[in-house]
Amino acid sequence: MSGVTARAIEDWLTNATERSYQTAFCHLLNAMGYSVIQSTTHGPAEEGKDVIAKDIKGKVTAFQLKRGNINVAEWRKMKSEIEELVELPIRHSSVKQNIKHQPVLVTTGFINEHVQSRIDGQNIRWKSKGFSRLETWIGSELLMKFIQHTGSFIPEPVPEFHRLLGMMVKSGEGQLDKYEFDLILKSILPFGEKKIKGTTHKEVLKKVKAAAVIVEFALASFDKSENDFAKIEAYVLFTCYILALKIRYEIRRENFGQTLKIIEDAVDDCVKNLWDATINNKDLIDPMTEPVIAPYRNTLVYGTLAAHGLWCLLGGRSSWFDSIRKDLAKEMTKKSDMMFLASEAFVPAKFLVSEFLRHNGRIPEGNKIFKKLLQESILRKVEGETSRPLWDPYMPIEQAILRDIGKPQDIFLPKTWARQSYSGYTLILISASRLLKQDLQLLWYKITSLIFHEFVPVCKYQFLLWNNRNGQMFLKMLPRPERWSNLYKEANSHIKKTGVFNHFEHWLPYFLLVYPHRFNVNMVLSLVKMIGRNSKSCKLQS
Amino acid sequence: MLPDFPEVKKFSQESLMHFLYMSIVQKTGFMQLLRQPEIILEGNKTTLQRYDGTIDDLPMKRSGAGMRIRCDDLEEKGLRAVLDAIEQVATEMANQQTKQFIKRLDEITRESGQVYDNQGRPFTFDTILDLLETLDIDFDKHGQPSMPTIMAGSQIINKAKNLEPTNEQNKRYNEILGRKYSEWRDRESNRRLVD
Repeated sequence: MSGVTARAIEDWLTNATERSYQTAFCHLLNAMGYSVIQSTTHGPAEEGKDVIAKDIKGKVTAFQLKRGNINVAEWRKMKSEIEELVELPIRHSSVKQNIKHQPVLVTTGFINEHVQSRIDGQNIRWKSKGFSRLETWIGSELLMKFIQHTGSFIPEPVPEFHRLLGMMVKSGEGQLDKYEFDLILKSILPFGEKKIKGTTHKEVLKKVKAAAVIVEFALASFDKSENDFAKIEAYVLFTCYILALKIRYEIRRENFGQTLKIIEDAVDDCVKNLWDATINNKDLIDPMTEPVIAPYRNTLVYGTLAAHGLWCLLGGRSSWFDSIRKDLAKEMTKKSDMMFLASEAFVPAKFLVSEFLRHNGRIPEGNKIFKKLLQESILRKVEGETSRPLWDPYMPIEQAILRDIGKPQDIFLPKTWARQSYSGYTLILISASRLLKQDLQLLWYKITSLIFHEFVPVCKYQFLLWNNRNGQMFLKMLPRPERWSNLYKEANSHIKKTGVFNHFEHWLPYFLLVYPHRFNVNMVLSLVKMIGRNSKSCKLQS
Repeated sequence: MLPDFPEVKKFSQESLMHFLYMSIVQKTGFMQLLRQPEIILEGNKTTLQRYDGTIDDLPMKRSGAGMRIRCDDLEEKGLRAVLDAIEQVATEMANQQTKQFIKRLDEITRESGQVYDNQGRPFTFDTILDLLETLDIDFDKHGQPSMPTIMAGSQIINKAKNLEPTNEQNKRYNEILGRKYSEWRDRESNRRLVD
């Protein structure tokens, strides 16, 4: 490993926020062979324990995570927490009662010698009382562990390495560059053109575990800027790449369980922050730009919150979401007219909002948003003197917003919006399944002028990658005339298996949100069906 | 290092690429007629399902040409040297694309049975009328036809320009247009969702 890489990791470790450090630490434990059983993400550590994990032999270890140097003053402040860490037994369903655990104090800095001597003194007392000795992992040791378990997986060649460094040091205020992130992930994970023969599941899993930590390095700038939306997008992409590997190498789902669990906690945490920022942002807004930004931001933020609501409905874990569900539905309804689309990348977000409302007691409001979405998705694709383009879903979000608010169009940019629709056909079939015949009839003449696009990859797993060089773009024109009965039949017979999402249903709303160019009939109708099924079972239970 | 201006460089490159594209469009002729080029944002193949249900694979063809600019020319002619080289590339690529286009057009018309064989007879106004009979013609909202374009060698083009229709041919032309108009209206009326 180059010195630059080691330095980059050291820099990341010094500057990482508590949340990102904790997520990366969990991934590190996972890579070291531990199995994380609890990671407290919100609020103070429970009884002094931030992370609880079992090692390969089944020995339980509890970690208290700190950042920076620990001097005597710091030690005094944290003393009671440390006592709890060492003395209070672990209370967790997967840990036997009163089992002796190993306490570890972890810090990114160093421990002052006076503190160390106090720890040594305490250790003698703790030992005499029958408790385990407090172990310490200081910054340099921690750095070594990070380097040891990720270093060999960090891409060394230029430009991949520069790409990773670039992402770590750039300003974290903008949007995630999905093309760049895709290249970084492809340089770490085994997605080469040819499947390397003899690649064992163990090797793939090792790479995934290391990649999970490297992703945290890559997200350093977003973390510093508290850019939760970008982090969520990155986590979803990474999850989909893991699922792609699962398909490609036919790996059992439980092998990825630990990694996915840590990512799920991180996503849940980011969404919580997004919600907090949404309801508390009134003091932070810039009055000059807010009216321009807000309608686009609303679509993305409420789309993300809706995806999280649907994720919970489909089996995703969240400890806090139920308490805000009603308030969220109310806020969404209030803001529904102020959710703009700049490109088709915004379509899934708005669709998820409508679905969330429909399944949270606000059916008319949800339907209204859906009908408006259908109308806009068709009319804004038709060329005309007054047309306001709805750009393609591949275009970076910010670029699309700039164009939508009237930035002079790049003279070299082809019109990747006119007549080409990636989400229109899906919305048409959903309308048919909901018997919105009149709405479709009103739009049908315009609909017949469009060509509907859908990407069909060579291999199934490639569908989960952001961009593929190989594959087929299927272009479809609708019959003239089209029969309502055919359309209705198509809408109701189209649901096939969604592949890997049959076993990871809760990730499907997020997949559609982050991969707007994959907003295809099969995926979306399956989601609608899953939501309907889970909604019913929720009602039955209640 | 000498002072550098990466943004200006990027813009200049984009401008030159745009110039190349526009030169190709101009030289091929047929590309000017395309309403909107289909931009494929992912993958390396396309398949089109038309409204009549027919499916057609649209393979992507590579076209390219090498460009060489001598340092002396750059010093002497400046930007003109680059533009001249781009013109040469555009000519070569336009030739390749025209050949590919005509070959593909030939395949499609053969497959769909739209080949009209004049059987060695001289090219007359009736030939054009016979060809029109085989085509779908669209009309604008004022009822004006959007007439097809003839791609042919210079001899035929010159001949076509000098053709003077007889009264009878004019009458037939109007009849064809009238029929094409009602066919177009039928097609337009089919653009709906029926029970």
